[in-house]
Amino acid sequence: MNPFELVGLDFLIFYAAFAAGVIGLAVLYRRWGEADSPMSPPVDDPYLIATLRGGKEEAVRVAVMSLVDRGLLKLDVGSTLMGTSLQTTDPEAPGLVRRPIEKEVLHYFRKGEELLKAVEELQVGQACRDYVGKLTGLGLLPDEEAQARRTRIKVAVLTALSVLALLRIGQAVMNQRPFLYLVVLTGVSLYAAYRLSDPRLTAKGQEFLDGAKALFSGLRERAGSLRAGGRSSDLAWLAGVWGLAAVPALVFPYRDALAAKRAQATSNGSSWWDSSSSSCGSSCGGGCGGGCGGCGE
Amino acid sequence: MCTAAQPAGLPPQVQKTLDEFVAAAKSAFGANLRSIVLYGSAAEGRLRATSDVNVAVVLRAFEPSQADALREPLRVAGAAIAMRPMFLLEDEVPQAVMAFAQKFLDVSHRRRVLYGDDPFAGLEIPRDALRARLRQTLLNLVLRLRAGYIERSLREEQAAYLLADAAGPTRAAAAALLELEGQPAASPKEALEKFAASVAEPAETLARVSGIRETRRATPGTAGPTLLRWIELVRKLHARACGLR
Repeated sequence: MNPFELVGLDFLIFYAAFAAGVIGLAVLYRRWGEADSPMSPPVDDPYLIATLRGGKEEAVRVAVMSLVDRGLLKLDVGSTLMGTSLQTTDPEAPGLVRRPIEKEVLHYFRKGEELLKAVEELQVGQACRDYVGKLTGLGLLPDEEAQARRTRIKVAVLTALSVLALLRIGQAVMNQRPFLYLVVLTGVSLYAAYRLSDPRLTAKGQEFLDGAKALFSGLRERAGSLRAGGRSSDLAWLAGVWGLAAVPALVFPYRDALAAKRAQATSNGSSWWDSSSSSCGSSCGGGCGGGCGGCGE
Repeated sequence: MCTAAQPAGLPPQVQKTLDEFVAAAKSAFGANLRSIVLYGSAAEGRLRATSDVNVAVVLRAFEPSQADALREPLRVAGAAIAMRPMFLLEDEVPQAVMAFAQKFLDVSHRRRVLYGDDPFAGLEIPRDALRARLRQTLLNLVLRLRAGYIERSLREEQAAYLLADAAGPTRAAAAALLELEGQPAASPKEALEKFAASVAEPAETLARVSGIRETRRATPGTAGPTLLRWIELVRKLHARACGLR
């Protein structure tokens, strides 16, 4: 079968099948190459898993949540996201904790600092870099070699999809036939190929994260019955494995303030309590507490 | 009722976490570890999402440096499957049975050895100890629930938490009572159902509290009245326990 003899919808179906096949093979090839990694680490550090799941910034946020829950950090919620700040409750607090990221966070907040600035600065600290280094060394995040391999796969797939599409478009131009749908389909295929050939985690990393989620699925189910106060590690594990959004606001009322991103804060200046769940926005000012009713049009 | 090794019907993540905890305990305590015993609903494979996983770790000696190695695995297991451990020295077992007769009644009926020999084989719960402990537990529960009602029932969600926490001890007490009366039930839940039926308590009360125990939430307007009914039910249990010979 010569695909260039196909016309209209027939070629589009052929192209879609071709793209799916090429992308599928590329994903399988990438996963095969990344499966041969060292053994997975034991599941014993919620911040390591937070780093794997959401990056260094997420690890900092989970550490801050845990330390606030334990009473070692005091959180002052301002009227806007930019105004939220934290301070250690005890100058000796860094000596009370064990993990390097907790020590770094407590040292950082000795004099009181604004949350969003702290998250940005702490994620380039040594503890976070060590977590990324460990995850990379274990093959859960791609190292330079894996990244180079991914780039080669990506270039090959994008080239194959683009060349076929360009040849066909050239043929269509010569024959004065429409090709708009092919352009759209090519764009979608290239985007899918780009995303699927270079995910943030390696196949091994995704498998490890899925395993951790399965292990802590029961914790998520009983999240509503957790108690604040830091007696157990439950809150840190819940946030580390499942994300801050999985922590009930009843257990940790500052969850939304902690989860807020810089862009969110600067773009809408919204109050922290509506930062994650409401689209109330800045025009509402401080009047959103009652449920956005006064925002108007 | 006691069976060795793999408990049937455990969710995979619970089994995996228990396996890892047993391996960590063996590595930490070495020759000082005598046995690890799973007891309660998990030993029967009747776990629910909100159930605790109860484990008794029996040691020949407690060495702090060995225990330190188990701290992290224990916290992980606590978070992953709500594992609640009890660390006993082997020569403390007879005293523990006397002091916590009601708990050990449950151990005697529902347990599975995960590691080592069965330290509770042939366990005899002295009737006097069980009766005294049962009366004490029930009176304590009545007083605690009464104070809790006055302190917390203006906030319905708090009253619901109180009921959720009281359900397990009440069931266990009912099981101990029926055991002492010579008509043991198949499970603590069934024991409470039998007792409630015998005192004409509507099944709706038990169903409501079961629901609260599962979800930690009560239908608005029901938590306070249900808590009052529960206090009465526990008082009736206590009265019957006091009448035991």
